[in-house]
Amino acid sequence: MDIHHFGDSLTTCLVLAGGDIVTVQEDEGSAASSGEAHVEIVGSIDATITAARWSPDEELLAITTNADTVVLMSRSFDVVAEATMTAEDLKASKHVSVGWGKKETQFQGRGARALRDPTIPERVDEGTMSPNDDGRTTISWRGDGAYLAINSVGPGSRRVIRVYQPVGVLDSVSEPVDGLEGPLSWRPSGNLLAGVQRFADRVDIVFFERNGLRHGQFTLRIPHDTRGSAEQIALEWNSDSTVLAVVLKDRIQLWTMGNYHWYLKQDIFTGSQRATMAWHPEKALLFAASTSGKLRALFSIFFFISLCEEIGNMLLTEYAFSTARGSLTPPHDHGAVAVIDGQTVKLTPFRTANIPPPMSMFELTTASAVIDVAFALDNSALAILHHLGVDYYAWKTKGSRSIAPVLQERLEFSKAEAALYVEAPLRITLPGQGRVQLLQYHQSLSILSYDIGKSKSWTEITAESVSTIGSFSSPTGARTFGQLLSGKLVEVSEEGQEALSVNFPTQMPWTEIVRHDGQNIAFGLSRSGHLYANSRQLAKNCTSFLVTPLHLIFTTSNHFLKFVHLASAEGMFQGPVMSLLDGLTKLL
Amino acid sequence: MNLVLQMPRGNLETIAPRAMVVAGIRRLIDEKNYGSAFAYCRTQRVDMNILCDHQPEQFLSNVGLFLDQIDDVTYIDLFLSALK
Repeated sequence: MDIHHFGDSLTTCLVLAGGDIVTVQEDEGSAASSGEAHVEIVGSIDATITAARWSPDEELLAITTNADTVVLMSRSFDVVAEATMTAEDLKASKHVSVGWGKKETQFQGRGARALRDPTIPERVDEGTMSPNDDGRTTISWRGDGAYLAINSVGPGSRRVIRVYQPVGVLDSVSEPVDGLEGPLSWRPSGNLLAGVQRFADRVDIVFFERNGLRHGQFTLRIPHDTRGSAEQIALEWNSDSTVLAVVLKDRIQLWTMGNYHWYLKQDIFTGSQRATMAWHPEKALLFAASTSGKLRALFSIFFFISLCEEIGNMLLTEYAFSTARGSLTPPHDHGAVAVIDGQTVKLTPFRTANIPPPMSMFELTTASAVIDVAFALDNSALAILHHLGVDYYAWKTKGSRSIAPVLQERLEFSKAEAALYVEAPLRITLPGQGRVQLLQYHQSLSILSYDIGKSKSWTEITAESVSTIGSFSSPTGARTFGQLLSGKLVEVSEEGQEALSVNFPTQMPWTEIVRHDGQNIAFGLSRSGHLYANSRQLAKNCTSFLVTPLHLIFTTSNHFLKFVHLASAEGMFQGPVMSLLDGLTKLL
Repeated sequence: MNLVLQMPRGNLETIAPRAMVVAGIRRLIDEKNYGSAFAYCRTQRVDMNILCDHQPEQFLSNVGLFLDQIDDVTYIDLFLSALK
């Protein structure tokens, strides 16, 4: 039912459905290499175990049994608390719906009101079971370990989420929701529990508060031809509560929320088999997923890949949020920003119109889920990389206003959806003159190149250990650069890789190369917030940065916006210009 | 000359930082686009002296161009009264 590894004592704990709890102790040194391990049954429970989960601090193990009991065990497998889930529990919460935001509380005119009593809601969920329900029990702990939630079906009753304190005291039960299913994941920051509600025509991710009340939802976006992929759903929040992973039968979807809109940021195909996935407890955007099929491990950073290697049946992925942004060099500084939302790219040129997300000035739709977006250095074109190909748009202006981009060419990859798991396009860049280059992972890393209007097919360049690509301008036109895992920067061309004169001390998820006074300066931001110009560290608490022809502008974690006049990397000084801002995170 | 910032909740804030505005006005003066440079000085409340102090020789030899581009008597009054 559950497997958990303790890094500090090299112990792996298995909880088996039959009722046994087994630990496997690895011996340090020679025994581990010869494959020997110490196996011990540390405890047995008479009833069948339906679910088990360790608390986030690894001190408590919560177990539910088919006798409707909840058992909490300490690390030494002593029973700390026990509770029974009964039908009486349902009386714990007295939920009264006053119908806020519902139709019955809104003005309907005299005629409609006369017909029925307005204090009676039109329809109350009774908690009818979903036809797809497999009757499973799920346990989820709050991030601080102060509460745990159990989603289970009682005998002859509805599906209920019970919230317990770790001493075995019932805190609340959820209100009835029609078609609620087994998955449950408590957002580590504590304010929401995510569940799944199934309707005849759609599947919703629904949220509950700790007191059991429903609060918010969004509808899953699943292509119509793969309706069956939503049969079994698993939910998993990441450790800093920014991403909700929804595991479907053939894919993992990563959802984020901004301005109360849920964005489908990435669709990761896992082949025909269902994946099991887990987030890293500390690195917020790193997860591992495994299937019994193809072997692949992948470290990527949101629209950005940092390391690819094969480890067993694992898909290990790290993402980073990055902003797809157009040119900042006058006269091409249209302030263009692209936002990925499932199969659409929301595009806003801020010079033309200041439209806040989730709205946008233009919406471009693609044939499959979008992976990455790139702008040409002179903003004359943009390319959208999605799972089935690349859409290349020409983007013109009318006076100083940007007009809607025109689709110029639709490049397709010659492969079926089933192959997407093995062959993953990762990032795209537009080095100019109608050339499209993308970084992909297929057994090893390579860069594919295509010239719009000239090429007939993709040209492949090997790009061993290149982790990210981008474009920069040089005296002879725009070029493509790659960053190696060591932080070394190289120029990538058909002839191979040529080292650039600038380098970083380590590998940076966010990079930009600009030309200033006839020299290249590379700017990079590391995961820990260190901002570098070439190998010189400029700041330690940077949250985002951008480079204009005159200034380097960056935000810091203590809510400052700082300007640095561009000079050579060694002579760069922090300008006296600063302005105080509240709650700042990202520069567009 | 605007900077768009995204706040943690997802909303946008647009600001016109003085450093970027002044740099932009200098660039417009270098391009002899006095009309736009004056418009930015007026709306962003930058000291009008920058119009003649940034490139004094260019300004003195292009006074005619300057007056042509600022095609409003009240704006010329505003500029003259701001001079120090």
